[in-house]
Amino acid sequence: MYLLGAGYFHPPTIIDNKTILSLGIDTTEEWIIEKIGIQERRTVLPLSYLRETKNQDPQKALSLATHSPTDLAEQALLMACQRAGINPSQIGMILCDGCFPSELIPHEAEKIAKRVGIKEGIFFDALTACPASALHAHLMNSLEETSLPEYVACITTAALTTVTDYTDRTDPAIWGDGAAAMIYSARKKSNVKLIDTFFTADPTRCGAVIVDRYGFFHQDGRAVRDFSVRQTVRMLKEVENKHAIDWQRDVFIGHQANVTMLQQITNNREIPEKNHWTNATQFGNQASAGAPIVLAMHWDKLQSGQKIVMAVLGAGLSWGYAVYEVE
Amino acid sequence: MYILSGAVAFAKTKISNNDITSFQNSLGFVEQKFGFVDSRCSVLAKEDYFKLAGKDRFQADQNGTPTILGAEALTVACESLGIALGDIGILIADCSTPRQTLPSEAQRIAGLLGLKIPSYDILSPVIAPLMHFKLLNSWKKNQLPKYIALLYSNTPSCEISPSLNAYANFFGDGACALIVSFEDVRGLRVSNVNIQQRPSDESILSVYANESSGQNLLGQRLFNTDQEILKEKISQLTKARICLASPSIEILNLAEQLSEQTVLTGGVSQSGFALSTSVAATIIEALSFGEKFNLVACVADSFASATLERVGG
Repeated sequence: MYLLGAGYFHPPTIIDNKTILSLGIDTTEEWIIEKIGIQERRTVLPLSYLRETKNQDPQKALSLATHSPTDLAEQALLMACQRAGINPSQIGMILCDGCFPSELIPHEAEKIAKRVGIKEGIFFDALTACPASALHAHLMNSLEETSLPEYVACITTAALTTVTDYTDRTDPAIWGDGAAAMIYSARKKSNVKLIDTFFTADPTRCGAVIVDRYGFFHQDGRAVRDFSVRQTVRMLKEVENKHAIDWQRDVFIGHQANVTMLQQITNNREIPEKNHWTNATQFGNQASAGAPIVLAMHWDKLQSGQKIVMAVLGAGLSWGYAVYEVE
Repeated sequence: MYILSGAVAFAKTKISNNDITSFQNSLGFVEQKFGFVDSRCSVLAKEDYFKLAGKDRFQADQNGTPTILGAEALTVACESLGIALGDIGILIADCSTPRQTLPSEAQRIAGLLGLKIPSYDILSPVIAPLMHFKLLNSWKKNQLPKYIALLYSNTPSCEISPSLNAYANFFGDGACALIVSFEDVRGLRVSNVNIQQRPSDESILSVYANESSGQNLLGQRLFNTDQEILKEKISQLTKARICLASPSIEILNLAEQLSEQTVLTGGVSQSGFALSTSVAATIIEALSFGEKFNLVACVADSFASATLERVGG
């Protein structure tokens, strides 16, 4: 299975830490930098709306948003197709994860297919929130290659600022919006090969991260943070042994939850800064879109002989990884 | 792939056509247009079914949620097969009406049952069972556990507004669980899975994630299946009894004419149309009835079919 192209899109509106403080939230810039290390994040919400309402009625948020999750996904997919050298109409299958879609029916994959002019194919949403890019890669790797169409698009699109409570002390500093798209093919070769995948879950802890249909995002922060560091380190140890990973050469991309969590992981595995690719400082936690966006942002920096280890986790609780080799 | 067992768990409140008449003047419409739906199941109390709207309706479920109904159906499906819940290796779900958009419905159901297994949603409204079959038939078999649980759980009665839209009265709430396997050869063999999806302007219904305004579209478009395409597709299938869940009497009549046999409808006449749950419920009927079936699902411009054949005892 080959990765032919990766694309991404962020909405243009920036929420920097000063904007967060201007909302009257009981926090400080020092606290945000020290605890999560995020300086900016993007949002589909107009800043005037945020200042006026602090998003206290999230039902209104999507109707006022500058971009829907489908809009974000469309832009990411167009970039991915351009990089893969294909026309979107050539895509035969779309898998999508939308952490908080504007509609539940029709599903996001079908809406995206229609938006980019695909006439016929197989479209479904494969959902597991933040680790969805690993789930999608795992599904690609689990299916018989002969059963797949020539081009498959795996898309993650997230607009969690629409379900963020902007009076809460912590959550507004975390979330950012964005989308990523990856074009896979079993038949058309590229220099980026998907060589290993893994995905699993412990649903007995699924209450730790939730978004209510009529409410806000909520998580058990401490439990999730501890889980995130411990489980990512476990996954990295496994991948290091299986694939002879050399962090002086190979690259780690983690779940972009926050900067300090990622630092704990890279410190533990002694991953040098140059081979830890991240965008959390400038874009925050982009949920399922975060890690694949980072890969897409570094698409032109991939080097021959390098392995890219994308290890992600989140709601479910679920976790998984995808390992790519640049040939 | 073999479907070994299954179970349904419909919501407890029954709303009859007479109940509808007492609350609104639409029974004539109901009987004229889709006379075979006699009642529908709802997780709402009867008075809430008629009176509440929007968010209040969504939050008033008193006798079940997709998660609770799904857990109930899966428990019974395992019991009827004689396996423990812990024997399930993967749980895949479809739910178009979740109470939370995150985590996935599969993870909520697995969590409620205490299962620590890979679980995630693969959503394809209404045709989800066939989408799951297609993916599983394409799976590398050495990567699958012995028993796989497929869950379909939907509560569309919480998303509608019957007082505004008579079509809404054809929806019902429930869950259906199927236990499938590639190793355990019995039950119904699934083959010839064919899916044709054409993205369309015609959504069968529009359930908004945080605003129950779907009532404006809900219902009418469910009946917009192109009957010429349906006729052409069914004519291409090998002659066999058809499993087809639809609230449209025109579509069912067409299927009966083409197959020259009674159609298995998954109990839609008594439980209402519960999206993918009803499609899966036709398979439960097939498990205890006959030898060979054409499973058919159609919505708007999507058409899906598969052959189900009995094997073993």
